[in-house]
Amino acid sequence: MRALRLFLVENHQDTIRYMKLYLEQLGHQISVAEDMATALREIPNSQCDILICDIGLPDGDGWQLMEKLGENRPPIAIAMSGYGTGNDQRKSLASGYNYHLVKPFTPDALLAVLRDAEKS
Amino acid sequence: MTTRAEDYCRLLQEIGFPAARINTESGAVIESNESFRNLLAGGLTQNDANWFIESVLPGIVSTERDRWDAAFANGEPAQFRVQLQSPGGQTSDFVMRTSGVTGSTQSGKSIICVFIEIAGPGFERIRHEQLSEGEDSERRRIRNELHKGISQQLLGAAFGCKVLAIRIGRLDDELAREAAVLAEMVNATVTQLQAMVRSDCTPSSD
Repeated sequence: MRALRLFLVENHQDTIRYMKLYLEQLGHQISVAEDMATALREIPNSQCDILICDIGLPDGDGWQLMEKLGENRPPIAIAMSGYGTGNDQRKSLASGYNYHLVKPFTPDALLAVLRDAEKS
Repeated sequence: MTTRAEDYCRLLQEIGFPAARINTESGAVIESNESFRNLLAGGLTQNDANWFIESVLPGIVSTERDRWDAAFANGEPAQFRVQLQSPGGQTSDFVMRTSGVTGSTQSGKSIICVFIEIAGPGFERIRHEQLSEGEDSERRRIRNELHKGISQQLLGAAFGCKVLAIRIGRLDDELAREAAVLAEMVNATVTQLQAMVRSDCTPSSD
């Protein structure tokens, strides 16, 4: 798997820390924003390959983020949320996400999604 | 929005329990529904101007009288346990729910009183509904705890274990196997919790 530039939007500190460490161990480059405002400011200049975004953010949600990013959306986007309803998953896909992971998920599940995303 | 007295009159007829509108100054029954009139026919209450004052108010337990006075004065919704006695001395326990009638009426200030017989099928139904509401509320609380607390912590722990397993694997083979087992245990817990979350989810976002 080639090294990817990933942008993580998440506000849970332990998740940020260990997800970042794990993805860095796999050779990827990680940028992090803890809220929507920061993400909106930094994603356009990040040139990231994949956005990994929590749906529940302190100042909005991951669906709003995608809408506001508009033309600056990364090529691939992965949504994460605590609920796995069909409604949430449809909403993620409709708002531009390519994948929707239900929390909690295993590192292997994220890796599988990244591998699939890399192919596309 | 204010509910008018005539609306209450129509609502009275639709209530499935004995119900009456009472003048708060005279205590007289202004209007009532068929269930209430059946209750009167059974002899549990007296259909005269003072029945409310003489039959119902003494049936409110003394410790609740202050609460009753406040609810009566303010017309706020309240619930009391009352005991009605038939002329033959037979008593029946009721839950009386009251609420003030807002808006001007020709018959003056009034309250609606609904009587639900304790141990009757209606009371059992309401109690069951209240218990169900409590269970639903508790279920929602646990679900939120799962989503916002435990699952988030477990997600961090799963990635943390994986990171440690990879790092230890570079140092010691035996420790690497132990760390891998630990990481798999966390993964299995994550998978189990995920199954729980999926089997008890609602159309809402994190």
